[in-house]
Amino acid sequence: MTLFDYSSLAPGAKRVIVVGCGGLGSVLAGELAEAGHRVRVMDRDRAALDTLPPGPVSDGVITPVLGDGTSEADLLRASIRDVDLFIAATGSDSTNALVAQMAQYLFDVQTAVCRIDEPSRKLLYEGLGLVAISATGLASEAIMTATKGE
Amino acid sequence: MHVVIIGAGLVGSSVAGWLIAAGHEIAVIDRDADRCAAMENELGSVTVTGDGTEGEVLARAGAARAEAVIATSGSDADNMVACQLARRQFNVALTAGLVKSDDHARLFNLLGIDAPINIVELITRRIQEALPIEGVVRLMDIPGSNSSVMVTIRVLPGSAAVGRRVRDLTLPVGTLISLVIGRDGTAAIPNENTALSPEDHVVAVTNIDDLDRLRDTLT
Repeated sequence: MTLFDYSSLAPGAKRVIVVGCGGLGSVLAGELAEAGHRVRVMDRDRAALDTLPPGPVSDGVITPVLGDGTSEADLLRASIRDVDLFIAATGSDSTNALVAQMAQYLFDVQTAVCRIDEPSRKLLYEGLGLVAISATGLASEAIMTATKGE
Repeated sequence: MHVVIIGAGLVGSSVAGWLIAAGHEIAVIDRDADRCAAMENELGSVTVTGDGTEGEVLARAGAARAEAVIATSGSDADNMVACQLARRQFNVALTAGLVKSDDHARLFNLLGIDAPINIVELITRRIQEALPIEGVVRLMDIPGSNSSVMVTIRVLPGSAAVGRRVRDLTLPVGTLISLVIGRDGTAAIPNENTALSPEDHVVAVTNIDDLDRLRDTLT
């Protein structure tokens, strides 16, 4: 049994779990929903979940899930077993690495993305098969590109 | 040998003191400068102030020549990252990390962390051993099996199992009684004719789902 109704899922649309509903998680969920994907966003803090865009939430495209992403039981509650893409987007590198590896090793999720800002950790987890994204790295690259453009 | 310890808290300090007394060289990493200073008062200049989940800080602590890294912080996630960095970036032979939840202990095993130390389980086990009540003490999870455990169960004086031979007990299928330890402490490998006495400790391997039935049979 799944909590989620995928009957209207368009071809090519992915089932996504985002752990962490801070700035990054919340914006990301909105963009994924816009692109036609079905998103569940998990956070321990109800107030953080309230920052999700209300339209897609009331349409059922984004489902907020109150829970702890480092808990196996809570991940199961968010139907991690039927997910296509898993994104760890909390503010802590270590938590993201832990959560993404739980998805990878305990639940066989094919694609696990995690936000890892510190360079040695990013290198480590890229080597271990995670997609590691550095928010600060991307921001500084974008700024450098903009600087060159002038 | 050289050992890097992450965390200058109670466990980190205790392990550090023990290793120094045993003649080893150590470095202790902690984010908190005050905790580092307190430890240096006790043990000399052995600390590195910084984040033990960063390669550069581990390098400063001498991880490249360390034979073991022991992660004792209060965060499962940080302990995991420190152990993985130690192994992958510095080729440390032995990694040990404290872990507080069963989920994470299972993950640590899958990740190849040599010694995941499940502190909640350890403490619970000591409490079970200390309490003078019947019950099951889990000795170990059988490696390579998802569901087999080794346990010890105390035979209570009023139990229906008292005086019965092993072959007459109705044990759950697949349960193996491997050792019987008498109240005087003598351990014997039982055969089917071994009779159980009050206060015997029965060591058995069984399926985790059959634990309650096994306890009911013996207590």
